[in-house]
Amino acid sequence: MQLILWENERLLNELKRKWFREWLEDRVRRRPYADTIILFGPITGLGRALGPAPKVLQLGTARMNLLNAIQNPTLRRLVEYSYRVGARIGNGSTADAIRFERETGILLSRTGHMQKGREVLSSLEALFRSNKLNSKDAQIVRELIYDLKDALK
Amino acid sequence: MSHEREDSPYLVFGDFGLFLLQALDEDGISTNENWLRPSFQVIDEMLTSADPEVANLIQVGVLEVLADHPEALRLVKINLSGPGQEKFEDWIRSSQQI
Repeated sequence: MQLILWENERLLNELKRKWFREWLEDRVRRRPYADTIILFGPITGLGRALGPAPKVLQLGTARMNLLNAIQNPTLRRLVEYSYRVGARIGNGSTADAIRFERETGILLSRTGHMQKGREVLSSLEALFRSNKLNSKDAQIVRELIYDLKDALK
Repeated sequence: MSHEREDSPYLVFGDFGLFLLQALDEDGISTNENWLRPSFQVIDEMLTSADPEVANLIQVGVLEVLADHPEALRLVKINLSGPGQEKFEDWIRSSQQI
């Protein structure tokens, strides 16, 4: 009986994940700069922050591309923490985890990722205000803030 | 540190998770290291906490950081109590399901 329930739950979650993927694609189609999906996955426009990059970097994950571009160690650590290497939801970011939880009602952890998102956002805003960033890092932070605010709104 | 605020527990535990990952990824690390034992105890106590926010903090803040590193996860798991291992398995099952 338990196995049947688990299997049903798995199938339901699979359907929700498929629906979420379509929902993300639909949102991206309606947004400008959709070409940046290749660089950073759905939703974010982070590709604009990097300028031209070697093709090999463009094939990497959002996390890898960001870490290759970032100079500031605090920002690097925030990205290491906010983007999962092998996540299956969106581009692996906390922002996409929040979007998934809000749109599907499935929590990816006991109480979800909203609070983590708020704290990362707050830290990014403080970092941006600190004026310690070079122009490229500042642009990346602006895009990350925009992405998280979009997920949390 | 990735934060300058004292009221950001997820960032504090995120730093702990990244630090732990770095240590567990090192070749030849002994889980008998003095500082590792209390680290596993903290994970265990938080995972089995009745407070869902506390359990969430360790899942999101630390275990997700280790999630893509099977050897690190294995080392954490074998150092948890029985109930801790059950909660750990629950988390693995739900995260793999998604």
